[in-house]
Parts: sequence; C-alpha cells; structure tokens
Amino acid sequence: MDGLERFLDVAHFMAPAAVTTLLVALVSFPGALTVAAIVTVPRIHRIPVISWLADQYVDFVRTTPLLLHLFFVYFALPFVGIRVEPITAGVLTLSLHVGAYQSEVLKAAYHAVPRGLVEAADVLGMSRLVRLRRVMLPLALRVALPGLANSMIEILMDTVILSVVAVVEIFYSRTLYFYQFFAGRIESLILVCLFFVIIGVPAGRLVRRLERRFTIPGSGSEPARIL
Amino acid sequence: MNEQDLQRLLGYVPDLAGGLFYTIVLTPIAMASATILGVLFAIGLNAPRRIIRTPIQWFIEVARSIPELVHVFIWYEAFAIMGLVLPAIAAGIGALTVVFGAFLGEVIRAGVLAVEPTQWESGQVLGMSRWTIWRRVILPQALRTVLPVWSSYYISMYKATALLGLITVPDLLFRARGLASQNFRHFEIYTIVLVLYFIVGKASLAIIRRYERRLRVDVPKSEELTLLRHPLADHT
Amino acid sequence: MTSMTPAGASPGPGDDIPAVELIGVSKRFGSNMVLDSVDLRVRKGEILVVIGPSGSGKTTLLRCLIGLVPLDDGRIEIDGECVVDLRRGHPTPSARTAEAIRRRKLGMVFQSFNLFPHRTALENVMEGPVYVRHAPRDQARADAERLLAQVGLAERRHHYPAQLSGGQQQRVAIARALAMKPEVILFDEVTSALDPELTGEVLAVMEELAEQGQTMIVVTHEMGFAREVGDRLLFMDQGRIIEQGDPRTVLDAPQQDRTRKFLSKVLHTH
Ligand SMILES: Nc1ncnc2c1ncn2[C@@H]1O[C@H](COP(=O)(O)OP(=O)(O)O)[C@@H](O)[C@H]1O
Ligand SMILES: [Mg+2]
Repeated sequence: MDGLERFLDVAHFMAPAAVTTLLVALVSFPGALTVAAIVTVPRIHRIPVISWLADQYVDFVRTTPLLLHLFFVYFALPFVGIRVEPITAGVLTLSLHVGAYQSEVLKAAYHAVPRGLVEAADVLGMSRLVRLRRVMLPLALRVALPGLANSMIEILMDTVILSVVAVVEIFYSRTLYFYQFFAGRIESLILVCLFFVIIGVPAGRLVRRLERRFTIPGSGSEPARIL
Repeated sequence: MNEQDLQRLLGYVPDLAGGLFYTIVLTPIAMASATILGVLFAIGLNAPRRIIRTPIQWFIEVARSIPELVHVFIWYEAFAIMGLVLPAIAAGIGALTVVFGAFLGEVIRAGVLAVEPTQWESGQVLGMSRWTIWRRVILPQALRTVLPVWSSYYISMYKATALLGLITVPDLLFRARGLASQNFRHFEIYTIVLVLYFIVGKASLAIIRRYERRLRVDVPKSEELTLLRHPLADHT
Repeated sequence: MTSMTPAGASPGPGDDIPAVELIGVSKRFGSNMVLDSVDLRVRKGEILVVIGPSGSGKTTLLRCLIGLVPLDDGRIEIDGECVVDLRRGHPTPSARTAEAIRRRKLGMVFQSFNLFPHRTALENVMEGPVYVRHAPRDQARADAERLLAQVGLAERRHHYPAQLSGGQQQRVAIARALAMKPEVILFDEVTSALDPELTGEVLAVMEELAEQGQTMIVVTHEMGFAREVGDRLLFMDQGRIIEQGDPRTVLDAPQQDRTRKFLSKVLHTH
C-alpha cells in the first residue's frame, strides 16, 4: 500500500471512532452542566456544611488528575458494587471533572451581577421575570458563555483519555488499526492531530471572539476563563 | 484494621513513595521549561516583524488545540518511528513543555502588553539594550502580573504529569496501576492515591499563593504596605 | 551677555563645544509638521527653559534629541559628536554609534516619572549603572545612596514607587537619571503631573542641580522657575522657535505677538 492509499485506509478505519469522540463530548456536556449546577447552588448561597463540601469537591477535582478519576470510576468502583461500561465510566468522569470547572464559571457569572443592580431593577418596578431577562441574564451570560464554550472544547480534547479504558474513540482506534495491520502509526497520529486542529482552532477563535465581544468596554470585568 | 491489613498497606509505601517523588519533581521541572518556552514565545509574539510573529501564532494555536495525551504520544512514539528515540521521561517533559509553553506564551504576552509602554522608554533613556530592557524591566513585571494565572497552570501541569505514567514514567499513578494489577485491591489503592494527589496539590497551591502575595509589589493596597517592605529594608 | 562659567566646571578648550547642537531638525507625523527646521545650540552648563502651548512640539524636540523618535531631516551633535545627520549629501553615523553616544551623554526625566514599579527607589537608581555601565554593585549602591540623599530621600530608599508620593517618585527619577552622570539632562514637564504642593520639592532639586553646573533642557510651565533658574528661555509654537533670550526679557517684554498671547494666557490662569 503506498502512502496516500494507507492514509485513506486509516482515515476510513478511524471515521466511526471520530464520530464516537464527538458523541461522547456531546453527551458529557449536559452531564457536566448538571454537575456544575448542583455544585454551584450551595457555593453561591453559602449553606453551612454543604457549601463547604461543594468547595472541597471543586478543589479536589482541580488538584487531582482526570486520568486517575477515570481509573477510579472504572477500576475501583466495581469493588464496591458499582460496575459500569467503559463508555459510561468515561462520560461520568468527564461530567464530574468538567462540571467542577464549569461551576467556577457559573459562580463568576453569578457574581458578575452586582446586588445593587438587582435592587435598582426592583426599585424601577421590574417584575421578577423582566428583571431576570433584562438585567441579570445579560450580565451573567456575558461572563458565562465564553467560559462554557471553552469547557466544551475542553471536554472534546479530554475524550482521548477514554482510550485507556478501551473506548473506541479516535485515539484508541489508531491502536486498533495498528494491532490489526501493523502499520499506519504515523498516518493515524497525523489524522488524530488533524481532527483536533480542524475542530479546535476555529472553535478556539470563536471562544476568544466571544470573550472580546462580551467584555464590557472600560469595565475591566472579563469573562470567566477555565484553563 | 488488623495486623494483615497494616502489613499490606505498609507494603505499598516504597512503591508509592517512589511514584510520589516522580510526581512531585516532574511538575516544577516541566513547568520551568514550559515557562522558558512561554517567555520565548511571548518575546516572539511581540516582535515587530510579522514573519516572526505569524508562525509562532500558528504554532501556538495548533499546539493548544491538540490534547495533551496526543502530544505525549507524538514525542514518545512518532519521534521514535522517525528515528529519534527519547527516554520516556524526556519525551514526556518535552510534550508537556510544548503544550504548556503554548498556553503560557499567550498568557505572558498578555502580561507584557499590560506593562506600561513608557517602561520601554525609561529603559531606553537609561541606555539599556533591547535585551536588557526585556530582562530587567519588562519580563519581571509581566511575570508578576500573570502569576495568578501561572499558578493555575502550575496545578494543571501537576495533573497533566499523570499522563506520563501511560508511557512508562514510574510516577504515582503508574505505581498505583502496578500495585493494583498485583493484588487487585483497586479501590484501596486508588483511594490512597487520590488522597495523596489531593494533599500534594493543595499544599502546592498553598505554597504558590504565598509566594504570589509576596511578589505582588506593583499596586500595593494600603494595608499590605508593611508586608511589601523590601527584605533589605532597615529594621529601624 | 557674557557666558558664565558654571561652578565646578573647569574652563578648558572643550568648553567652546556646545553640549547640544541641532541644525535644521525636522519631524513630521503624517502630514503634521511637528518640528520645522529647528536650529538650537545649548552651551555646557546652560539651563535652557522651553515653553510653548500644548502640541507645539516641545516633547518631540526632547524625544528626537534622545533618540526615542527618529528625525526626518537635520543634524544633531552631542558634545561635539554627531549622532545623526540626514541632510542631503552628509554621512550619518550608524545607529549603534549614535546610541552609544546618547547613552553616555544624555539623560531624561518624564512627566509621568516612569519609575520601575517592581524595584525599590535604591534599585531604580542602581539599575542603569549596574546593568548598562556594568559598575560594581557596591560602588553603584554607594553612589545611589548618595544621590538619593542629595534629593532628600535617604530614608525612603527601600520603598517601592507605589509607596512614594508623586513628588518623591519624581525625585527618585531625577536621581536615576543623575546616576548615569549624563552631560545633559532633559526634563519634560516633570512637575505637570504633581499636586501644586509637591512641585516645590522637585523644583528645588532641579535648582540645586543647576547651581552645580549641570546642563539642563527644561520643558516646563513653571514661569517662576524659568525666570529664577533659567539661563535662557525659548518659546516654541507649531514646531518652530518663535523667540528666545534672557528669561526676564522674554517674560517681561516679549517681542513676538504669539509669545505675548501665550504668556498672557498662561500668566492669567496661574
Ligand atoms: N507618536 C505620535 N504620533 C503622531 N502624532 C504625534 C506623536 N507624538 C506627538 N504627535 C503630535 O505632534 C504634535 C506635537 O506634540 P508634542 O511634541 O507632544 O507637543 P508638546 O509637548 O509641545 O505638547 C502634536 O500635534 C501631537 O499630536
Ligand atoms: Mg509635551
């Protein structure tokens, strides 16, 4: 098989796995948002004990590796009777992990709405709904949207971790190809890179555009970023 | 907990301690080299000529859109196929240097832009060369400005080093997998390792935050003024 | 007017050489002619005070002199050495040579102080000697301490700029310029950013320097300083030197209409 032929062959082989990668990311995003919402509410309202726990959870996720979380969910939890499919373990781990980061975004978004402003809207006689729609959401979304968009890219990139528990996403499919044909290692690696560059570069530009768009001129308040 | 449990747990210590050593040492090394690369990128991004800026911009954009794990395999596997066989640890540090160097390049560049442009002129009228102005005036201020962001990347780097276990660098996670595959006590071992990561991570964060406060001198708030006295200051 | 020999400067053959000489210096920003063929000579030890309305090109004049802004035309000589000559048919020295000369001979103090915020007062003053002149640290420190004492800030030497008042910062900036032992120091409205009660302490330092024979080009709106300390007053408008001479003469009996108008405005608002 010559170079181009091999390339196309590998691409053909990896295509379904690329779709899996996208699907895993798509499913994990709402999962992460759910986690983020659950964690953020007590963090904002300062409920004793529970908000402390929520803070610890976020700190915990921020200081421990994603890979270890996945190992824990997939290899350790079965020993206490929780047994899940690799792909479920992956989605669960991604949701729990990225959710903690998103919670930081949501918290920043919440704090981007000054209390005084809410009171001002009250004084103007705005109804709860109008107040939410006209005052709170616009300010909060400015901060939240770029951060959340960024976390979507983050999830997509993190899906490659699932290869270690043999989920046939894009990165693991290159291993499978090699085991089957003992060839194409460089080609498959290039294709993986292309996949992420083609999606990630434009998406990253979009996020940075959102950030610039949503920075209120002169306010010095910038949209929340997660790393 | 009985005698046997204790015996077993103690049996983990040499392995986990060895792994912990790698995990703790890898982070500052990789972060130091990533910071150096980031500084070089930032200087390049600030170059007056487009022919220097544009390729660096592209490189950064591409590098940061590729997952860390893929970077690691580029260095470990692709380079080897092309004839450059690197020891796993070197490949891993190289990969993390590139990824984090790309991120830090942009961060540091933002810090450079935040330095008052008049600072360049101050250096110039003192007769400083371009390089001296970078080294003595611009970079010290830019790096101080980005320190809080840098610290977050430090912790990200700490987490990312766990990927190197996948290419046989004997770090904490690698040792944990080894132990678990011997005695099948995954829950116990991974719990211990999670706690270890958490403790070391929290401690690193606390240490960094302390230095951060000490280094932040440019805009002292009044109550901090006393903290900001220079170490050389007289004790009178 | 006979030239006064400044105290401390020994008379010698070199004294005939002007500290600074500009011949036909022009600068435009786009279509805006900011310096229009300026000729100027500053004697060693002279205190030249430059006044003029905002936008008249005073800052640009200083910045061209010290090399922060490139000229479009003309020649500049510093202490007898040419740093740039863009007149047709004249050779101009290399940028490197020009920079070396300026580095040795000129210093500048800005309106906005521009101290290094991450270094203490003492470190700010030591920075040039140590990292440009490569002077030994101990000696640089001793010099810097002496200079800070001279500007009345010995006690504050370990403070950071943000911990100092504007007047104190500006005095550190002057000490920083002095540490390089420049032949000529350029002052660009160094008191304009200061509260009125703080300008006095800075002007006092400058007056003392003048008494020591330091050559200075001072752009300022402080007419009192111009009158009392200046050896010569120069009025600029629209990139040209309109009038110059003994400060008292120019201030009390200006020859030109534009000078008169400007002075009446300035003196009324003060
Ligand atoms: N970097 C620049 N780019 C474009 N125009 C400039 C620049 N610097 C100064 N100018 C213009 O040159 C003129 C003279 O400015 P300046 O020398 O600062 O005057 P002054 O110091 O007397 O107030 C002004 O019209 C100003 O707008
Ligand atoms: Mg000016």
